[in-house]
Amino acid sequence: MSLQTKQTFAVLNQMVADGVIENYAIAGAIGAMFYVEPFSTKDLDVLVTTPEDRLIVELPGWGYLKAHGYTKVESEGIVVEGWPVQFLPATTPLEREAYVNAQMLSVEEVPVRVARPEHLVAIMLKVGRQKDIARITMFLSQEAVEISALEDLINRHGLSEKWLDYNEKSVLK
Amino acid sequence: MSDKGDIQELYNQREERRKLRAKRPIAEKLKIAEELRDLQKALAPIREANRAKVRSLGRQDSD
Repeated sequence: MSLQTKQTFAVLNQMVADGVIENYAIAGAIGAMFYVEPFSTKDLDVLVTTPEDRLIVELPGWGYLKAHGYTKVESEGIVVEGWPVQFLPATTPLEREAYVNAQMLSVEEVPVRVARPEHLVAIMLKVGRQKDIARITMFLSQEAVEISALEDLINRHGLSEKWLDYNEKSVLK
Repeated sequence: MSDKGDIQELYNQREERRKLRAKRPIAEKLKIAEELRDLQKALAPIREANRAKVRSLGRQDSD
């Protein structure tokens, strides 16, 4: 049985090859699944950069994907090979760092650029929805993050208070 | 062993299984995510019908 997600990654790689996006970093739930056990998600979050001086008037890659037959929009994303893909401009210093430091992995021979686990956890901590907090616990309990690297990110990006708060409430003490 | 000890042991075993699942090949994990996504889609009308029912019962209660 073929893996549909692999085709989605191939389309992203083609977008880079065709110069539509400079590069990308898989983030969100799908990014998390590279490091922790699988769980349910509706969409695929992709960090991209856009020139700082350009006003974003449309979804990055929208025109390209439309021209390639991807016209369906679902869950605020463009459906690419089964997954609604949300292109998220990396605007904050933390998101930019996650984008720049993403690592190349592969899924059945298809290369894919994925944000590092410590960056994913730091972003979840910053966003702080209930589901983000639950996912942080998954990363920690499944020993998927290097704590010293994570704490370095937390300190540099002003998340110490949130981290303390998380630890106070955490069941993993 | 006390009940509390039994529960702790079950919890530890579950955590160990989750750690093993986390180490599965990414292709296997993504396949599961695809199946869960498709299941969510299939269940969406049922969930929506349930939400509508709950909302309508809530309205009746407040009348």
